[in-house]
Amino acid sequence: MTFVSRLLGKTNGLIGAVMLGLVLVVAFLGAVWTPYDPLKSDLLNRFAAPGLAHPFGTDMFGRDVLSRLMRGAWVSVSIGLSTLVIPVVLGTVLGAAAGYFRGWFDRLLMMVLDALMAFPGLLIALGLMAVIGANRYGVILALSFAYLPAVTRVVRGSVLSISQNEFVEASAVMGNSRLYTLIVHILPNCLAPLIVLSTMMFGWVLLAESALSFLGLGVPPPEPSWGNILSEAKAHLMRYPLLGLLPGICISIALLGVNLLGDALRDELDPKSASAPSKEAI
Amino acid sequence: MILFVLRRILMSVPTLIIVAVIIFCLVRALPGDAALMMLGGNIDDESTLEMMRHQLGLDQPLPVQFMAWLREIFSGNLGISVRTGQPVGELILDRFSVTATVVLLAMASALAVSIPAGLFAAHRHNTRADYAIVVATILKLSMPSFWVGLMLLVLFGAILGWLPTVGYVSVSQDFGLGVTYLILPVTSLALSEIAVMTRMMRAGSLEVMNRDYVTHARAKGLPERQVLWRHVFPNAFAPTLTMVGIALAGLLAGAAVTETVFTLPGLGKLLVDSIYGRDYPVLQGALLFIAAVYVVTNLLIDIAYSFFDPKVRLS
Amino acid sequence: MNIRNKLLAPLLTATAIGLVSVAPAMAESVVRMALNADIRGTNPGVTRDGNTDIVHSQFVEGLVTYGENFEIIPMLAETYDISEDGLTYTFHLRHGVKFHNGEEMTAKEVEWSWNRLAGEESESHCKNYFNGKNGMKVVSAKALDDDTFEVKLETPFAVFLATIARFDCGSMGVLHPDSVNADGSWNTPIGTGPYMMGDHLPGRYVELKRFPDYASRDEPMNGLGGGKHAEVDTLHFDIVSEGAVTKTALLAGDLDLVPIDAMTATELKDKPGFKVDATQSAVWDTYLLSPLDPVLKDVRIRQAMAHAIDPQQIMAAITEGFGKASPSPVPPMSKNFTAVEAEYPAYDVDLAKSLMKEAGYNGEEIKILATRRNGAYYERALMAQAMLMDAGFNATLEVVEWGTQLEAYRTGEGYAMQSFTFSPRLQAGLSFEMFTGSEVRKAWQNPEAIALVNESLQTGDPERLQQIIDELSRRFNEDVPAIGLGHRMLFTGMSDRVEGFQDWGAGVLRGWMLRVAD
Repeated sequence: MTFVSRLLGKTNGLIGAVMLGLVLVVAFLGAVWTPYDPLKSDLLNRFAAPGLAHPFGTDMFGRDVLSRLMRGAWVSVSIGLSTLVIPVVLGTVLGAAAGYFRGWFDRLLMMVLDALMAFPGLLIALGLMAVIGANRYGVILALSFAYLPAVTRVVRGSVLSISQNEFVEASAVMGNSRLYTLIVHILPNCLAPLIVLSTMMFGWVLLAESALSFLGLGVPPPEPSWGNILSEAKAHLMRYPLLGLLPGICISIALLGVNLLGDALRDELDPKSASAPSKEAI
Repeated sequence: MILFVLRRILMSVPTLIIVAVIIFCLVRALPGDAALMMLGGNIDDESTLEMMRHQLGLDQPLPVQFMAWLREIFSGNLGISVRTGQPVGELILDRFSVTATVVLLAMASALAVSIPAGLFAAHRHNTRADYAIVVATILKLSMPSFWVGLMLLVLFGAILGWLPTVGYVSVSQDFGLGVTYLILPVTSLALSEIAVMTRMMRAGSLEVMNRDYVTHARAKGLPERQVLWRHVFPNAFAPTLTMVGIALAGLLAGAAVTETVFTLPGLGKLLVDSIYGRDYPVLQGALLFIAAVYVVTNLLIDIAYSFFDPKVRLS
Repeated sequence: MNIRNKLLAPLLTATAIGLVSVAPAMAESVVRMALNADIRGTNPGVTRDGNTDIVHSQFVEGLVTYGENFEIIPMLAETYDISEDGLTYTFHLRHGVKFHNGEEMTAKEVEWSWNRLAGEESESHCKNYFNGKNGMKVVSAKALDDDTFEVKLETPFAVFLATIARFDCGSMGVLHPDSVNADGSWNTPIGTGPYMMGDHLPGRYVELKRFPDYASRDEPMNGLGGGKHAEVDTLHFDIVSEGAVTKTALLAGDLDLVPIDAMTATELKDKPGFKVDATQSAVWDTYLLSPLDPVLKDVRIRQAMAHAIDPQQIMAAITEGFGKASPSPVPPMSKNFTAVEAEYPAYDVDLAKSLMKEAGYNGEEIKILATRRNGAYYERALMAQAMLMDAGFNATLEVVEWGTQLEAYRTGEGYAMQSFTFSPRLQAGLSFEMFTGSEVRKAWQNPEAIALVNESLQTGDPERLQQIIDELSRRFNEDVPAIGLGHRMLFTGMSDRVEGFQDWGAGVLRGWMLRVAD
């Protein structure tokens, strides 16, 4: 409790949490309810200006922009959250194993991860999307693999440095098994950098998804994501700037929230870690 | 030292082989092939498709094609583009020179801005100037880069008309003209890097500023400017340098989005085009090249580190 | 003037042009255009795709070509005769036609060029049109004397002339043998067109230079033929793949003439300093229905879908009101397009619903496949989906990358309906042939339709041809192997300084029409 209140006591932490909270509320609302069907086009009502019926107007197919942004929030946020699962779980297991057992396993794993890191996320995305089929799971899986090495390395690094602490040796002296020591004494200490990294990764995914959409490799339409709403609007920038501005602002709000909260979290949890801020992986 | 470098180079060989296998499998898993893409919707007869596949060597079994590709790699030749018939190695080097020009310029200008900005912000920690810098960097990091790129293009290209919007002239061809084509993409890339590196620099400086030797230097009565440049900067720059290395490797691999927005004939654009056109030799060659660039950059970073930290050599 | 001088002449001219470009006082005229992908090469009929053919058409010509309304007109041939039995085609060549290297064209080069593309050793897909693999077989093609070239067929094929005029073979383009190196490898195109190949910086730009010694026909310009009086010194094509960027560049004055979309056309129409050309082409936008899909096997379902979709409304939306529906595969500018071809299943949701009920439709999924490619594939699919859903169909939309969709098209699997586009077929029989046949990719596998299409390609009798086309059109509307939408509107945006531009149904650029004002 004190941790949370200290975090929110900081201005940037508070602002970040509020912004991110807002995004999450809109996203969860968008999952269950939107004013109109976000997929329903109305050819007789295209490019409608904002008004009472459509607060943000309609797009090139006469679809309600507000509804699309709300559902898009859900799609983008759920992609962002789902993308955390594989890297965090698999990355923690692999990183912990590598850091703890070292030897040939560590070397082999690092080699494979090096190979994986040497790929542009772009190709992994397209390759996997080709195999899995054109849907958001392709994006999730592709970005998961793109971020897996980062998590694995962070966990491995933490395990390596924590293993040198006296309490780890003490645990061994007390007769605890290696596995017990790893799970009970070492891993909880890796949590801090992992939380900071996850927060940042959530931001990376939002940006990466929009970049993939720009290149035509993101969440395939008609399902809206913030990235593809923005990308679809690029042809109409000069004439209907609002169509592009709104999703851009949404992405920026979410990212601001992530970055501010991430900074505050880092200051609280992991002040020593190098402050690598979020950037697209592409 | 030489032994360490040699060992690292040897260690990168298996990595590159794993990469080559993954690349080949991924690339061939894409639906459709180059012959189909070139005929498009005009497949007037199967015999034409078969003929093109035969000409392109696509009718061979996959393992045979893989071995043929491996032979091409070891002969130093990466094959020829099925779309344009150009040698892939030449094509990649040509495109890489464009990417490298833009990326190195962007990185240099980013460093020139972010080092003083980061130091300054740290020096004025918790003042308005510091907040302004932090907020500016966070704002930039919260915007999708293609969005910023398109905005720059629309503003300086179309509305103000100061800079060209399409095409590319290399600086070696016509310096004055070449520079005008570089300004927008370099600015667009540099902005992102400035945001990242200013934050790195600021965080690094803040940490160093409370160290004893800095306090000591101040106590000696050195002017603040000298304290910052002589004592804070060198120590705060190390983590930023790592970041520069990583970012450089990533960018050299092809800034696909930036190159698409500014129609730069660079490596990232080549990659995207060859994915869409299913130009297997180019796609495979470009990916392998990118992996190699990554490995080499990492190697250089490690070597640079080993100068500072002898422990690295033992590990 | 000896031969050496003749060879030097164009070289000197080229140098002179080069010098002029250095001196700003006598700036050469340039029109800057955009290609959305690089050309595949400079070898007409060999290193080609749709984009590349357009560049090739500026420097290479064939014996015959297409006129404005897709009639066959002579180009390098002055005239041609067809024997009574329809087996022998004799081409009488024009005099005074010069290659880009200054040499005069004779039947010898025509024969060499024919064998280059249609010979057994040819690397070109064009040989498959003439070696019997697709029905038509050429038994001999040779120069009779300097001015006469003769082709003999095994059986009569009325589409022979239409086939040699094909854009994808550069109209079986006539080139000088020096276009290839001594070892037979490709060097550079030495054609007879009003433009010659200039610089090509891969991935950046392609340039064509005006051929000053071009010998024009006397007739007025007609389609890709007739008189060609090129004025612009350089046609410059920048490679720009992103549509939003092309548009920005046009607005910024960095490009002069670019293909644009309907939205941009409405935007530019009233903008001072810019002009817009909107021309209906023979490019057919359609929805192909899968012959393998179990639900669509029932003709009543297919009919219901056709009645549920309103081509008029969709065409109006994707062309911003510039275009209208023309669902027949036969393009409206074709001479075979009559009142019969103008008919199509009416938009009638109630009728669609009763047909669905009759067929026992019960919410089975209808998967629509589309791609985010230029040409509104996705937009068309999205609108059709909305209309099908209104009628009660459970229509789903899957957007895939173009390569993936092409694979589905070729194998006939993975879709119930897909938005698709066929490039211009300039003969009415070919307009049906493109989706009719027994191959898995073909939507119409009805044996009677296939027989009719085959006859339409062979008959030399215009009246019989019209009868067949009318019959095919009626059956097409009843059998609904595909739901036609319209013939695509091509929009071109250009700056005021470009004059003389006119698009036509085939959509192939005619660089020799362009002029620039100062």
